[in-house]
Amino acid sequence: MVTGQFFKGMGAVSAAAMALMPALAVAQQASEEAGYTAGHPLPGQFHLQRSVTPIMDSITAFHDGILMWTISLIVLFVLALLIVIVVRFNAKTNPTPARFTHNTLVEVVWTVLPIVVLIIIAIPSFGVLSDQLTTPDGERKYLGSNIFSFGEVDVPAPELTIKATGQQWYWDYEYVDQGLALTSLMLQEDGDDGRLALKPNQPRLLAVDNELVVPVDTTVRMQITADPTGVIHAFAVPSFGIKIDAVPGRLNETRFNARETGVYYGQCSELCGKDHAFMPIAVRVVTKEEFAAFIAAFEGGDYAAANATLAALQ
Amino acid sequence: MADTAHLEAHATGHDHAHDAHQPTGWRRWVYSTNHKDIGVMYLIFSIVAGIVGGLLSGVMRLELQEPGIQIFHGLAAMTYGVEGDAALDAGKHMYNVFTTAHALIMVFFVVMPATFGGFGNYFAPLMIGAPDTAFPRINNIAFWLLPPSFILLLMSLFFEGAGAGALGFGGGWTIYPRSRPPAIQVRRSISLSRRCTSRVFPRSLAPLTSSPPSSICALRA
Repeated sequence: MVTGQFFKGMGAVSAAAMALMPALAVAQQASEEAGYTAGHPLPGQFHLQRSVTPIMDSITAFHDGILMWTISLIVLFVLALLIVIVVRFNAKTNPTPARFTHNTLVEVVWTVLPIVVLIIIAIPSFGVLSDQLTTPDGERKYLGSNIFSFGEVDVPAPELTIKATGQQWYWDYEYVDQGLALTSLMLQEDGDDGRLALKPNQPRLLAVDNELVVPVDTTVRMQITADPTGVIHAFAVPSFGIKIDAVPGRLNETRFNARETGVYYGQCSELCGKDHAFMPIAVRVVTKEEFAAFIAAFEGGDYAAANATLAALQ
Repeated sequence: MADTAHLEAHATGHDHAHDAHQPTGWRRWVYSTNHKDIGVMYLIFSIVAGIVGGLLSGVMRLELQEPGIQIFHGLAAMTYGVEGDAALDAGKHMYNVFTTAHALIMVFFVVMPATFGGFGNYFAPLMIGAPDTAFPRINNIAFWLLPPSFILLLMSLFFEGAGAGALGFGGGWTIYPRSRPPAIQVRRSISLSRRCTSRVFPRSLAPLTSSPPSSICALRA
């Protein structure tokens, strides 16, 4: 099919474009080797955080593969036009200005070309958007990093449902099917409270006392809301490519399928009051066996015991 | 002869400076229907507002240049006379108030007046060869609505906002009340900062004069 080949071709173009950005990857790797893990911002970082889900693959490809190139080329083009005007059409070199006021060809070109650019951006944009908004059923193919494809990544149907509630100012989590709940508070740098004291190697303003624990390679359905008497927050984890408002009295839904174990951090992303900056999100992705042991130990509702079980396994 | 000079000036349309109806002194500016004068007033206004917005930004940058909280709890202690944790909380709120006011000032009282109001008024009639804007008196009143609305925004910084002792609205430039401790109502500071933007977007005045929008109702319940 001709269109299929066209999209494959465009996929190859975006892949080639991304291959031209190794410098960013090298910088990030160097930082990671210096003792940092993925899942939170690194000193000196200026790229997106490393992706561990198909959705974030799409977002990263969209940013690196299309948007940055489109923007850069347009900037260079406009700069070139400005330089031509400055050099060739200043009062000295061009003392008698042209008197025409209309040029149909130029008008058609500057109308049609932006439309073409917008359409090229819109095609993968709508694909990524519908990926983000469609709950996987196990059969639907997701775009992954090839955003000009018709979908080539399998994502299983959700097996775990977690409800996150934005409070003033921290997050509550609930394993809905298991009926287990936990409260997640930010660790303090100079906290006298032993339980809330930040340990070395933990990222400042991101680490929490009780992390949300989820299994790897599993689609997790996130239900997001805020305290009914509270204010609007937003639940966001950059490495997962998810960000969704937590609105009092409303249940928003999103999902992620992390392919790597580790701790992934996010922050409240809707200005919600005085401690907006101090209600981080920490998600610990563990192997499926570790998660089963964690949930079994959590059964009585004792998160500390469950966390100790997890720590012993890791 | 003087008559000839007058006729020549009349033919080229440059004799208006000598007309009796041309106001001078403060009337020239306050009653102005001249697109260039109005454009200049917009530019001067946006520079003044830019200094205020820049000062807010300066304090925020002082706060952010080192990790941790170093400026705002002291600022709150001086302003409200609170100490310790109360000063810290008030300082955090004050930071949000500064962010909100800075954003509103920079967008609606610096960039928009300078570009569309200033440069637009000054240059657009010249570039299209028009003698002035289509409705010069509306152009004048449009400018003079801006200083009162700016004053309303600045006043909102000093009215009770989020809870006892905390002044100003700290919910971001979109000014919908998402930032609020439990059991307080929408306060004057929100109302004032809303009224200031309603000068820029008059349609947003409608919810204030008729029934409040549902989000505000929910908060009052």
